[in-house]
Amino acid sequence: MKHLAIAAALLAATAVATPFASAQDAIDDSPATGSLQVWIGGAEGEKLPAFLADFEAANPDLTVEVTQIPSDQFDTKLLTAIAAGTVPDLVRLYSQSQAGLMATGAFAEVPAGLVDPDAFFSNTYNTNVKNGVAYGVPWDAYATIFQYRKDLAEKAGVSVPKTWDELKTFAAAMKAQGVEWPISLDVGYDIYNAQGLNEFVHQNGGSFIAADGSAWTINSPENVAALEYWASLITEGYASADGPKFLDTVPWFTSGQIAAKDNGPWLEQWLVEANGADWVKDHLATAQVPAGPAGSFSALGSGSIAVLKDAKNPDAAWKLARYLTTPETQIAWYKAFGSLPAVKAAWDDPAIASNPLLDAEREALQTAVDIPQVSTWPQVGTYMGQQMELVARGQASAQDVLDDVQSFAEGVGLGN
Amino acid sequence: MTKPHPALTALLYGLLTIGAVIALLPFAWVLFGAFKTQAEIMSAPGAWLPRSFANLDNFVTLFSERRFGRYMINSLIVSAATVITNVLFATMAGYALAKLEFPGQKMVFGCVLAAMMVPYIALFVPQFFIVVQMGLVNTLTAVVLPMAVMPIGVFIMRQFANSVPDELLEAARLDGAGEFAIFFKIFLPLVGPAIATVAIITFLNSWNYFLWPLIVAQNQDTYTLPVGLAVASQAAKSTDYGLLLAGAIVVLLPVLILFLFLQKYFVQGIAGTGIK
Repeated sequence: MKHLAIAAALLAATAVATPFASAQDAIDDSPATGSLQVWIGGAEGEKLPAFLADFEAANPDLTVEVTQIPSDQFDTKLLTAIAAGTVPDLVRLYSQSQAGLMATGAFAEVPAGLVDPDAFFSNTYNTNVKNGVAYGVPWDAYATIFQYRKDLAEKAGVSVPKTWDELKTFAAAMKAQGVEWPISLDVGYDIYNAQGLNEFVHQNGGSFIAADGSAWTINSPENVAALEYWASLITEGYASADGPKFLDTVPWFTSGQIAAKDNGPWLEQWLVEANGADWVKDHLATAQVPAGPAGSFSALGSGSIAVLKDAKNPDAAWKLARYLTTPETQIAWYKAFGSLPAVKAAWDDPAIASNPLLDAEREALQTAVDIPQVSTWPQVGTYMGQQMELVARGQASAQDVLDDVQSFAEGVGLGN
Repeated sequence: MTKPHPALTALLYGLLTIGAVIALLPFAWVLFGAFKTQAEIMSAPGAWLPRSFANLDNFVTLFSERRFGRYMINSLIVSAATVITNVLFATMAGYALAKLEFPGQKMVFGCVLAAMMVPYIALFVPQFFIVVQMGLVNTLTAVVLPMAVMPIGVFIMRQFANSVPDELLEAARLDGAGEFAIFFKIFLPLVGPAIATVAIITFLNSWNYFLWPLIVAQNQDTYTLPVGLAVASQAAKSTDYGLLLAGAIVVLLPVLILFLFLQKYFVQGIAGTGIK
């Protein structure tokens, strides 16, 4: 984070001089040529080069060079490159951090007619829209869903909880059956705590930020009540303030130490890796996250593809972006890598439609809520996550903590 | 000195052994993990020992699919170049600062000390701009350049050079030796331990350096081992721990071998400078 802050500070100085993005000309259907530089974080970079064989065959005069970058340093590297003008053509962004990158003004406007905005889950598309202009196209999408041990639920004689009240009934029955912590919540996990709270806040009709993004609304009465409910799951003994953290979820879930968690769809894959597909079939079920007074809302995560304004080969970059977001490519990428498509039509493919564990996922994506897409969210969310722990441990009231986070957020502002 | 009671000696050895085992446990876990599959590592409650030490899949994957051979060569080039330039320039600068008199000598030494106190991250972006202006982006030269003379090396050599008696150098001068002859024939053989210390410190620094090589590299052909390790171990929405741990062993091995041979100098270097 420290590195990021320094790179960002320097960037702020250079970004001022950058003029407005000029609208790109429409991208034609002729084959792309030249060389194309792609930067991508994480494991996708390992799989992407082979996956692009078809695209390269269709564009024989194009060379695509994919560079895989450690994902936790991706933003630092890209910010430094933007500051120095040594950018690649196309990058892959994560919804958790892309607001800070987009605030640099280094990204090109999506050319008119390149993609159909309605083809994507609308929330994933909106992640890329600033002041009515799109600076990226969604590539993959996921929403958290309620994942639970159906064998334990059966033993306890409870069905899947659909509301906040039912969640506590569910937890109490599980507890009576000897499950130590029926529900798992993220507590000691900084910004992810806040991302988790964001679900509860929307379920209660609140939001951390005003609808038009003009002000922080962190200590609204709805949010305070949501945090109180969240913390009550811990103080009433249904969830632990001490774990499990991240990958510990797998052994805790397997041993029945926890029985349910709002988690991303990858939990299924983790459990398959650890316990085998048969175990998963017998033990895991998924559902919509329990609804609060305002409904069931889960946390959205998505990834986008964006092209840099200083790209040397924007034409080829946009052609690749268009290729990667066709339903056919989206489903092929799901099969190759496991990333769930951001394009709605791709979900009709049997590869996804036939997996009952993903039914809840598809439904959740319609309404899943994004984190506030402002560049200061990492600071605010991290601080909020740390302060939430005080409420979880009964050391402060929800009202006091959110008042404090609100004034912290006002101090930090909304970024640019 | 009386010999301590045998029981006391036994107790002492017992306690030290326990301490050593505790200190080694995490390393043992890394070593064992390198031979495990992802399922073995993720399974609950998990086992200490891998099912088979003959399972070299993680190592094979690193070198055959994840380009570890390339990263290893890059790292060796970078580290070798860094050690050579640092030893050469730091001994020269240390000699000049300790044994020659020239105007501004104190100020130059002050600058060296000041440079030691600037956190490297503050120089990071300006250094990258310079490298870009020089057209060196994506070269190993750019990885080495900012590390070619580390102030800490100059400082160590200067302190050590102070302890070389002036009389020896004077005698050589009276015998008609030039400055270069004095430096290479008289001074260098006397500062062997300091050279070893500088070499070890710069080797460790350059071998482990992560952020700068990552920023300078524009594609994976110029990645060094630590950067390569960070990307090689990433799996979909999680980490491939088997690869990560096997990679950690690969990165650690040269340092471990170096340590076994140069243990004496490691200890001397740390004791003499207070820097690990």
